[in-house]
Amino acid sequence: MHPEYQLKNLEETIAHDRRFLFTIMSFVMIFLIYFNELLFKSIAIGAPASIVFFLINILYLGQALFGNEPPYIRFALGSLVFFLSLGIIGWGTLIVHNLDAVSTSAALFIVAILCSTINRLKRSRRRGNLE
Amino acid sequence: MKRAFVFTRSLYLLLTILLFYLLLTSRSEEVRTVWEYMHPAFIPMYFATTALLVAIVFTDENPEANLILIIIHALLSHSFFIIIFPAGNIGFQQSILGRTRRVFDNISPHGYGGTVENPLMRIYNWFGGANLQSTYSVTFARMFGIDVFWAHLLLMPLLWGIFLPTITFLIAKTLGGNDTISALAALLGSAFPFLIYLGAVSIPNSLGIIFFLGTLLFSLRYLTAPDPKYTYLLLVFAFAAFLAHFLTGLISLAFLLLAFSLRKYKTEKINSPMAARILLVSSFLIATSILPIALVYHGIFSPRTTYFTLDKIYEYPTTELLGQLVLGDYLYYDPRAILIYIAGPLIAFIWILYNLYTIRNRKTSSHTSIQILFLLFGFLLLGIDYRILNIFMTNVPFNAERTWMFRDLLSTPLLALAINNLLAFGLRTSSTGESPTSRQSFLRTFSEKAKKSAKASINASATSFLMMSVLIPAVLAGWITLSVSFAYPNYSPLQTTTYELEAINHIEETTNQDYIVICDFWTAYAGQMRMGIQNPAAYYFAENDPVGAAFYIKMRNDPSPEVMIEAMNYTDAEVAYFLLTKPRVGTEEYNRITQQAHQNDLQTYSAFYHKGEEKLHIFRYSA
Repeated sequence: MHPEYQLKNLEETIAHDRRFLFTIMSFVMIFLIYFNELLFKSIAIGAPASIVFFLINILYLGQALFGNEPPYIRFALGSLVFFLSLGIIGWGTLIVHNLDAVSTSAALFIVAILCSTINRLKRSRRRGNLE
Repeated sequence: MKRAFVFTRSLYLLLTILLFYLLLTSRSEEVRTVWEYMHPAFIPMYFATTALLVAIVFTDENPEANLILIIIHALLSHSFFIIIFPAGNIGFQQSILGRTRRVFDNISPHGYGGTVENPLMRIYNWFGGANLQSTYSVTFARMFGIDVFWAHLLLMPLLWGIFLPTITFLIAKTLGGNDTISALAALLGSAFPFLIYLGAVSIPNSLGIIFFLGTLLFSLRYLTAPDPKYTYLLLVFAFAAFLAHFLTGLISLAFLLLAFSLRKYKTEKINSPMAARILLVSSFLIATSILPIALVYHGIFSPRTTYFTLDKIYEYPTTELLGQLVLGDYLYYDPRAILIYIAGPLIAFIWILYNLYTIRNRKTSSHTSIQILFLLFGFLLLGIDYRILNIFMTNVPFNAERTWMFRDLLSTPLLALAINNLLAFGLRTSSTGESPTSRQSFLRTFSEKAKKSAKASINASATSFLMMSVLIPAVLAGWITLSVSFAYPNYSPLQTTTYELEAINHIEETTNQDYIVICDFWTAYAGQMRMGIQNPAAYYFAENDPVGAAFYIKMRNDPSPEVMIEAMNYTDAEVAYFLLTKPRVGTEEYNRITQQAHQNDLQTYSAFYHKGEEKLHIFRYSA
């Protein structure tokens, strides 16, 4: 299979999020990040977990908000909006409380829920339009 | 052909790795500028690598791959400070790390300045004070399991390296550029010295620029697309730009107003053209006045009072005043620097005017024309605001030249579009085989040539094509290399040294009680980075704190236990340290102070050496 086609399939699978599989995976990554922060403080654990977390949520936002764009533009715009959401939600958490390990994880949870919800809503709306 | 592309991309990646390695070999423990110990092969190799990248962009029509290569190039261009210096560029960005460190160590609940008594100031601090940038640095540090020192230093070079080319690429595409022109636009972000410098330092202004650019992108899309999501995105990005830095927020607000009024103008100009024009002009005037008026009212929160004045008009001789109006502060620049700083924006501005002139009667191109009109208004707004700030205002809390970075951001995609038109024009005039009325772009012609080499028109323009395929990469690479060499300063104070960082770590590791450190403000930057600004357990004064400066001057004049006791009483600390760095005070003064300190019964706590020479002395006093 052509690598581009494989990537497109992967993107579709993640964005489809059957039985919330990838949303749950996103949550698992947050737990991993949290325990890494508490116990190990290791980049070897933190970097892969963060990258998986980023990718899942960027693909959600990219598919939901910029579904009609070519894949690389979708990804670029998705990452831009994801980066913005992460900042604003993190900033809100900092102002309301602080940014310790628990609060940071809470902020990440909010971001993950937000991205997943936007993705779900857009997909169901698109499906409704098709029907 | 595909194999050739794989080879050129691999060669480019290999050269980039080599460039990173050369930067790493230029890393120094005691250094002033990036050029001081720069490997002599770096700049020639940077030029060659950039030329190769330009050639790849022109020949290889794979936008994803090109964009990734450009991002790698941008990461390289913005990482001189963090690779060569031990702790990034000395100055304000280190102070921001001091604030971020407090958030990271959980000693600044509700953000930096978020617990002050005055509720108005508290709200002001929430929205300012680098809290958004701290959020990013702390979140990324916790996510990746690294110290906030690295998260902060890497933040801007990484974000700029990734997002600036990406957003510029998208803006150029929104303006109608094809993949090649858009990739060229992404690369040309490195042709502006201000943009390179700002992407190399982690300061709130740089973060705000990314959101401003997002505002610009979605403004352009909002102007032509009916989709309401662009309105929301536009508003959210403008808000984020404001959270990051008030300057980027205010300029984003001005652009927001321009975008709304231009869209209104577009829909209303057919029914009531006069009313639409009046609305547009009045909106432009309001948008232009947002920044100067906001700066005046900024005085409510800040001790620095900015106000309008005509004093400068009376102070300047007529010729200088005219020079200031036309050239601004470029008047005092070296002619070569003027050329590097002004060439891009000037070409972009001329291109806008030319474009508006050529499409003035075309009804089919209304989408592009409204976007071009928006960018023209943006240019004019920034030009007028710069002159108001520079000539008609005093006590502005930043250099008026900072408005140039917005101008450069607007120029980048336009410059690529202008280069495309210039090349198309050059090809038309040099080629006999092509119709003089052809509007086909050079780049499109170029790519079609690669595919359909049998065409007769190719033979006719083969010589000019070959010349340009060598000439253009060389010229653009030369331009980018020159911009990089102008972007990084040639004169600088001594950067934070490794022995200063070691001394600060040594104090922290060997002290169990609360302590206060008296030192010069350059060393205080290093302390803030490691321990946080004004941390009650390990107190380093802010660089602009007059109390800290007074203690340091007292210790320099008469290093005695009395001053250290006074400092300990200031923060209820149990231990006081006095740090003296030889290169910062000079050898003679260093010897005099250490001798006098010993005479006054101050004991040496530790001394630090670099290349066999004593460089730093720590004196300690405890109750």
